Amino acid sequence: MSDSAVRLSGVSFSYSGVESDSLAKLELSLRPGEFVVLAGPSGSGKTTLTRLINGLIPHYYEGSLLGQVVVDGIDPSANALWRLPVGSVFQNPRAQFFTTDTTSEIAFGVENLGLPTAEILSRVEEAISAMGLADLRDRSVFALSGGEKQRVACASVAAVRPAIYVLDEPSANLDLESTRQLREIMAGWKAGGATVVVAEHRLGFLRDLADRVLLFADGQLRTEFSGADFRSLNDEQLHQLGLRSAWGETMTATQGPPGGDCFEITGLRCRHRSTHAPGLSAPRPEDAVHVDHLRIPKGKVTVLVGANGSGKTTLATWLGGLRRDREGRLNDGRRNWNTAERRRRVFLVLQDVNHQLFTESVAEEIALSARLAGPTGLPILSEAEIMERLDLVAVADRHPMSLSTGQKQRVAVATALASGREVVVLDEPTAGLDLHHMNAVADALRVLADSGRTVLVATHDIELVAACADLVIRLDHGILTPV
Amino acid sequence: MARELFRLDPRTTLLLVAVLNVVMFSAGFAAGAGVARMIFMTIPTVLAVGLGRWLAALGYTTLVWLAFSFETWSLDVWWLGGLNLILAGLASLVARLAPGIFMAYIAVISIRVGELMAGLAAIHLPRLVIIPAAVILRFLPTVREESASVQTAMSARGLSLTRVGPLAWLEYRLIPLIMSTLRCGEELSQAALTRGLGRPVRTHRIARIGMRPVDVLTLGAMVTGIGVWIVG
Repeated sequence: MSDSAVRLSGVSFSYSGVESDSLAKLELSLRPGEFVVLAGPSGSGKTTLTRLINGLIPHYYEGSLLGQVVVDGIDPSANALWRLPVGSVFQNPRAQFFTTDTTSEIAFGVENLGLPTAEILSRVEEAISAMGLADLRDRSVFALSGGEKQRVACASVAAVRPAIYVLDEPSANLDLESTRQLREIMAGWKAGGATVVVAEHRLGFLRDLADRVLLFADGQLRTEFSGADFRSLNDEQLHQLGLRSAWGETMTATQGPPGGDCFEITGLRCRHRSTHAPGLSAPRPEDAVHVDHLRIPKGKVTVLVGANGSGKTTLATWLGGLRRDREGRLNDGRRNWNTAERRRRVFLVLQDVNHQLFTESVAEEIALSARLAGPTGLPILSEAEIMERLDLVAVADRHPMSLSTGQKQRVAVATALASGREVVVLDEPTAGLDLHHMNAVADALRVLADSGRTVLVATHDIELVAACADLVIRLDHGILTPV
Repeated sequence: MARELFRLDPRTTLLLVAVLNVVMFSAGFAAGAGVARMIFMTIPTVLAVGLGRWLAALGYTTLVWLAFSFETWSLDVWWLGGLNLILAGLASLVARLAPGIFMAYIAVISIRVGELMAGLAAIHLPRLVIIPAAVILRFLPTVREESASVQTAMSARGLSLTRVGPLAWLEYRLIPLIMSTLRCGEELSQAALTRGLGRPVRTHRIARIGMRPVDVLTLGAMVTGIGVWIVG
């Protein structure tokens, strides 16, 4: 045993093919049992530090590593990755499962220890009961919500009983309730004496757990706060540090029913749709929506909030004309839009922006939308003007896939603007974004509304609501409820 | 659960895929061979219905029996001349390929990754074979999910075949799919590595595998089919 759980002395790392250091001259020592939060903007070195601790650097990512890393008394460079007593949970719950059913998944890590079957089963049961996962036993992982997937991932890691847990933006795709459940799990690890390292943009749910908060910027450890000092910072001070709010978890922006010109949705009924999940009989439900009457003001930003599973995505895809439910009307004040018309006149920005960027440069992506644009009564902006207003001029020639998630979202908004469509619907455009990028996306949504587009944003990002909403509506189990 | 009753042990499934293909491609036209082929054509239908895939079972069964009937019947009737030869060849190809393809589909939808790893380990295959096989099985549904997402995104942008032309359409369809599948693959490898895949120990897997009534029935049908083929 050593007296620090993790020790880094004079550590610099640059990924191969990248000139600048992703982390520079880092001195750091983490005590066993300490709960440490890594904060700072995207690209500041947080994720690189998590990879140094869980051994993905240098075992998966190549590059130049200087200085010395010691994890639980072991040098990761000189030892195989499986020797490190570290459990890792990643950002994307979709892609961290090796098997396709929950019980095998929870067992996977323990199985790899080479333990006898009885011991594996008892550890799996222990993890299931410790995390309250009894209802998720023997389910297809393809039928789980994001929050459920992340809890299964945590259970799988915990069943191995690592001394150190490393989590890289585990809450990026989770709603408030799932985030609260994740917090409970991490509190349990802390109480059990494990060392926990979490890189996160959302700080609210970690506020009371943190023993230390390390603030990174440009690959450097800029400042550190004790847990108590961190809890004494208010949101304004956090914003000045470039960090997301740690306090604002309740909605404040509410307004009365909108006046003026509105789109109206009436009598919408979307039913559960289920598809077969491979290898298992459990269906994957698509959430039902039941909206009698909803007014969406024209030329404004309307934010639709609600937990995962509340039907936000279903409503968004219906508006985009990608569902054929017969019941339900969208009226623009004069006439109804049928499915084909919604598909032509409503621009949908889907949850995973990576699926909807198709060309080789940002400029070409915008030009493609402009080329496909139909007639519109709205002001048409030139491609140059669009890039100017959405702050994309500097990246006009870059490949869309080489951009950060926040930049990709702005490119998607740019294509929406170029398409000339009157209504733009976005699904979770700020998942996993830091303060700077979240604000940039909020500005982009304002640009849309200021150009006469009607914007509907489905999100559970409370700060996005504060940054751009003209009107907030809430969907709860598919039904509109007061905010 | 009723559907569980029709899920074979992964080893039975894989054996069935192999034997079925051998029978389909080696069986000639003697009476026994024809009966053997009919038996092996029917097994996938029964399994698919048992797994609740009614539509797929109906489509496969209709296609394969039409093709099989035409192949057999056309041997006796030559009045179509050259066209007959082409049609008979085509029917024969479908009748012999379709059962193998459909059985592979059943294998993919019914075998769980954990069971496959347990099953292959039980017959002492090396890890070098087991892990890639598990990864492929794990990845097929992901590719299908990603592909559906890209298709949705293209519809949302209005990128239809008629509006952008076939070449551009194919590019827009494939590039994001390849990119996102690669990224999923990377994330999956990282997660697997950090969870001890590759530790040089003999692993026990908890997935329950073993012979059940449905395996015995299936093996019985296979033995009967081969018996009829050899005797006839």
